[in-house]
Amino acid sequence: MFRTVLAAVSLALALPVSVSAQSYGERTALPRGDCDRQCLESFATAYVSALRAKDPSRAPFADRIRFTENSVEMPVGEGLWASVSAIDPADGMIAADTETGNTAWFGHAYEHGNLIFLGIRIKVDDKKITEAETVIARRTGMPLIFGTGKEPHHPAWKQALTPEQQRPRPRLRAVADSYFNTVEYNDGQVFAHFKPDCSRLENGISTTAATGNTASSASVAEGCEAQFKLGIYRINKQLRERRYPLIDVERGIVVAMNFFDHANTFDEYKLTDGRTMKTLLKWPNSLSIMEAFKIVDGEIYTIEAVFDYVPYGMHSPWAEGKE
Amino acid sequence: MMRARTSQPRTRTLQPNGGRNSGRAVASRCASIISSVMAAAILSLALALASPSASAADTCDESCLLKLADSAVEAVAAKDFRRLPWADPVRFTENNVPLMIGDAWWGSTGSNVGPKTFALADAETGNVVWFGTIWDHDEPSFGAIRLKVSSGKISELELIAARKRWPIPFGDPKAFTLPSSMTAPLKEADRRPRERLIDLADNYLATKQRNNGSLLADFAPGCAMTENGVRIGSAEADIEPKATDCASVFRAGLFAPVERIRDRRFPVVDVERGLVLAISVQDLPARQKTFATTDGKKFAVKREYPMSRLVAELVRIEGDRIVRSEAVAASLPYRMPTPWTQRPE
Repeated sequence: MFRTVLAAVSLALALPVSVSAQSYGERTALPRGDCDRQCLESFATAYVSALRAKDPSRAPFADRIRFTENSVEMPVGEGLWASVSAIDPADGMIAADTETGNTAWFGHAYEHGNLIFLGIRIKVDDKKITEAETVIARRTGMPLIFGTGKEPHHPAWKQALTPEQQRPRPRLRAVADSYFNTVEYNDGQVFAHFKPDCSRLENGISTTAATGNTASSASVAEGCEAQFKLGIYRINKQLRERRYPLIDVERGIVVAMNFFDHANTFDEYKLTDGRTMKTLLKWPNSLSIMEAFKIVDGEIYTIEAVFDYVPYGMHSPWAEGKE
Repeated sequence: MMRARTSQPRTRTLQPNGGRNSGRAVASRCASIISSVMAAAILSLALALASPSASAADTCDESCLLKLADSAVEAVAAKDFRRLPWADPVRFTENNVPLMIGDAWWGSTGSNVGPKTFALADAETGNVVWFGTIWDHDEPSFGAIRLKVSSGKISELELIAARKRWPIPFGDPKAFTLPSSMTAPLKEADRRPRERLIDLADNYLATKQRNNGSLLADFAPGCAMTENGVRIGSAEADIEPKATDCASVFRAGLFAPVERIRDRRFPVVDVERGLVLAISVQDLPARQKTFATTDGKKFAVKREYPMSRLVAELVRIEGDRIVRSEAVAASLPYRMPTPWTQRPE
């Protein structure tokens, strides 16, 4: 009897302590496990299905849901929810992190019949969606690379890695971060490790394999590493407010968000081979980005990203207090 | 990235003939009739009371404000923020984003200065706005620059830059001019008090918001609106209306796609010229790809996606009527909040 009472008192005392000791951003210190991969993926599908119906009530949202579109917080039902005309839930690349309850969907959709590319991150707590973060690439007249919506997702996204190919969470995050370190102030120095056949799909178009599109980086150099060695992305003054909310150890996937800041203090620059490049725009701008990495053997194998322009230096409401 | 700091000493320097002297005068009179200890106490009190006031020399008059605005534009072109008198703290935004002075346009600027289209100062609020051509390297854009000056020092700097390729109307920035009729002094009978002018400018925005044919303000015949040097007769609908005067387009409901005009501010008012600087954010959700005008006709919206616009417009008011609006309008992500309103709507 005494032991039981003491245990209850100890539990009561221990609970508030555990709140302060829990991982950053986590509601509870209790490890998850109530929503496995299949469960999380079903939430991504449910979200996209509700979006297709333009009806948030069809999605399993929690009472308090936080929603952003291109780094602006707004009520669910606003933004693309009001303008979407078609989206196929089955057409997306889906990733899931059972440890944090995050799941992501990358794909394309139509807005009043116009093609857009879309990245969605959803957080699931207690079988309800508590967070929905979206990045949408639209054709607005800005110089943005843009696919046709017909390019397939790399089959590797769905494949589980062997134990030998897997890496622990901190290492996967570090590899993704090393990619951003390479892109930032890209002057030819490469911090990340790439598979020789590394590929990248950005706004639905390959930017590592020549497609005939002169706006694509692949028209200058093919492959991931070769571009960075040339310093194609020199215009990135900084990659800011980096977050890594989804890490899938089993499949070697990291989904990250950040801003690419193009200060454009210069409007032309030289590649490491001496060629001169001109910046697409002459004035300061930023890109709001959601980017997924497939990491095999600690090396980047394929990348898929969605991004669009935002005012230079814009902040993400998700990153507040984390910088 | 450079850190914003003032080139002036951080300790406050009281200006001659301002609150300090009036405090001294009070203290001096008191000192003749009471003890020196008491006088010191009263002097301290008088200084404390007088310092925050906006009395004459503690402020920057219109000419001082206009000069500071010109100096700020020149300082950007020279990439030298240290030459300006900064308050500390100071706040700087470019297109709604708080940034460090030295960053953004300070880094991409060309060496050209202007030309200035027009500048308007308001000594009562300590605000001044500069409209004109701004440059990034060799590329011109439309710019509206607002400064707030406190005690002769710049405490706020706000740049609204309408640059080519954003989804906005875009004319020729090098031909950015205002008609002289817009800035001429008004006849005495046509002048209205500051508060009234702000109400009228607000009603103009209210008419444009959810425009359904009702006019919530009076518009002069021939009233015109321009954005980034382009005459506008609708909220970028796929239509060229025959009558583009303000009353006609608002009666037709051609701005219906503008669902909300929020975070309205009116920091500069000129009673003599009937001018109000209205800064606001317009939300265009594009819920539908078409909208109906008041006569039942359907028109397509030009941009079929949600977007917002940051608009700085100079509104000319004669008597109780809106005569003209000249705006610099930049593109923003849909519903992006502004850091300048205390309690964002």
